[in-house]
Amino acid sequence: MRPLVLIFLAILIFPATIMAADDFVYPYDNPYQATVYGTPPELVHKIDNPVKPKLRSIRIKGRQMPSVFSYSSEMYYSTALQKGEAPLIFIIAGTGAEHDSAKMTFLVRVFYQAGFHVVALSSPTHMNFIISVSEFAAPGYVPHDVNDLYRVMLWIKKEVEKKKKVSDYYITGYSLGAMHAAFLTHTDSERGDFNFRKTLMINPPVSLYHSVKRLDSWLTPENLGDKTPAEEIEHFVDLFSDYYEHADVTDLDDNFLYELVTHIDLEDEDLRALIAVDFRMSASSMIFASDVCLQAGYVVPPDDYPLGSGTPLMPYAEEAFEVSFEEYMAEFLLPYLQHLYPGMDRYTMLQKSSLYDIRTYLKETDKIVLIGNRDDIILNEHDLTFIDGVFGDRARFFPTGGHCGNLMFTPFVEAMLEMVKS
Amino acid sequence: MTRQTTITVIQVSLLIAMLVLLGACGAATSTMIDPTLNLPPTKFQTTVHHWPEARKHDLDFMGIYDPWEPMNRHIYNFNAGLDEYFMLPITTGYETVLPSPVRSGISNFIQNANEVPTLVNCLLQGKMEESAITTSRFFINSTFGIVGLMDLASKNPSLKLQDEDFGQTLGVWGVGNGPYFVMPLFGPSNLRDTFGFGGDFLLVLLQMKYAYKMLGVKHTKTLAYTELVIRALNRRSNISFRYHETGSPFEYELIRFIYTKKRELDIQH
Repeated sequence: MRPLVLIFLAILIFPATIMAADDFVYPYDNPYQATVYGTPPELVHKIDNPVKPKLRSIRIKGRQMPSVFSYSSEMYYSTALQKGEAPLIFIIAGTGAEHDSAKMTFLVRVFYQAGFHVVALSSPTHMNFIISVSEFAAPGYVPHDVNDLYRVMLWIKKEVEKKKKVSDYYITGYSLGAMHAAFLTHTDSERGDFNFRKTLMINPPVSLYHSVKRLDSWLTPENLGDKTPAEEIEHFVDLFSDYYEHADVTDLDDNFLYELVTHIDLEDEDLRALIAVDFRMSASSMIFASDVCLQAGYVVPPDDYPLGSGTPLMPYAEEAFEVSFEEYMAEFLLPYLQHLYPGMDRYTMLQKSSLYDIRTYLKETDKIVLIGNRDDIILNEHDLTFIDGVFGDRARFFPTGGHCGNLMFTPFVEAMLEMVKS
Repeated sequence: MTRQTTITVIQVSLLIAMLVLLGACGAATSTMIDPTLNLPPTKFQTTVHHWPEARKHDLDFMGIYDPWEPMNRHIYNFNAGLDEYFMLPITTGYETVLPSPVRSGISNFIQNANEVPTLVNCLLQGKMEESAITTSRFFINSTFGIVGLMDLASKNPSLKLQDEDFGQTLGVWGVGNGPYFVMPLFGPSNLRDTFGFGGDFLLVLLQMKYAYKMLGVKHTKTLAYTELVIRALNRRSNISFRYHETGSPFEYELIRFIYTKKRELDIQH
């Protein structure tokens, strides 16, 4: 009779376990879908009593700032500090993202709940960072961006230590922010200000240049066929409008966005274009902000200055939108670096903005761990081989998730925490 | 000014001052001095340019008729400042003083009161189904929802809140957008919607007057000022938009486009 009982039990119990296991599978195995859709709201890692981060800012006295950006004259960041003594973790945002973007706020809450003091910083590619605090005001050259971050972090360290006890320092970041985190750890290993205990890289690029080139290519005929990027955006606007009209929308919240992107039919070409448009919008903000800060005559003709708070900016927006990141690097960043450092060449600029530059350090240190996805759209085969070779078992890959698509998915969150604490 | 009005004004100002203090202003700022970060002119000029040309532009679909742009931009910036240093602090104060269930009661109550102007606009647009939904909502929530403090009607998927205002009504009647206009205090609009906003505001005032009369309220002015302040706080508290949070130097252009597109769709709907 026992086998019968077992079978009976199995029927009763197994469906439950199978369903539970199903819940733990990230639903999108198409990396473009994963990147755009993210984690379905019902699978987003739940946080009890999520902390409300505090807004802080830093102002540089005497800094020259264009009046058109007067609203961005202070560098904003956010903090969530524990009551008593705790380790502190810095989080660096990805390309174009601000300290309080959805992903950043989520990470702040996760690490706060895990017992950390948390400090969230915008990406050095975000316009607010460029305008308010960057030394050279032209992001994309990683050594400059890392120096800027390092300086800011030292100030914040001092501020926090005035009020709170900090037991140890940690650092993390996603996407480009993950690359910054690695370089910051390397810098710190030489200067010794923080003595980072652990660094967690989340979905990093290996080479900034290779990754942006890939994103750029999705707005070229190679992906779009005979459509121009502007026509593709118009196509999106029509799709979104159509959805908005026919769905019973009452709230334009995050769930609406999720519903919207998952309910309209997007082919892989469209998804790639959408990712690239999002990136291009960040890049155009960055390029315009840099050009105006330096008055370099790239997008804004010298005769147009001063730009006032009443000046129409649409003509510049259109121009900046047409500039690919690759063009920005070739036409703006490299000449600017050569202006600063005669003798600088393209190879050095690109090399110093890739993990290859600190390869030996990355291989030897046991402080840096990496979490990512095998199908990350910003990585190619060479990049994956590089990561496997350099990080070995300090790198952990999920099979799917695209670029940061599964960042809020419980198993990914648990893996992040486990790796930071290991 | 009568004595009564003076007292009311003082009361309302005190309330606001208290809320501002409670809300505390924006970010805590530290000031740093580092001359290497003063961003002195570099004399650097790119040799390749992407300057705007007079030719036809690609993103034309984002272009909105905005002949008053310089003025609008100034008002936009003024609104952003007002929001940061005044509206948001008092809204934070409001959110601190009143616990969330009380605020959602207030929010539901105001939403229920607003069903009346919505109904008027549904009728003016000849939308019979929406009128019926709005009427049902009003009666269900006013009775079972205890004078509107609870929004029970929304639990029924076929009784969703309708969004109709006088600007949309004018649009349905064939009135065009007119120039884009940023209303002081209230933000993105256009000439038609500004008139519509005025119409809706008048309707609300009439409704308030009628309701006070029915309830036999004596000091209507005190109550009216308080109600308008609470309506403003409730409105700001329910909008998650923050100025300059898009992280784009072209926020004005983006908002202008999104506002215009959304209104166009709402009118078609």
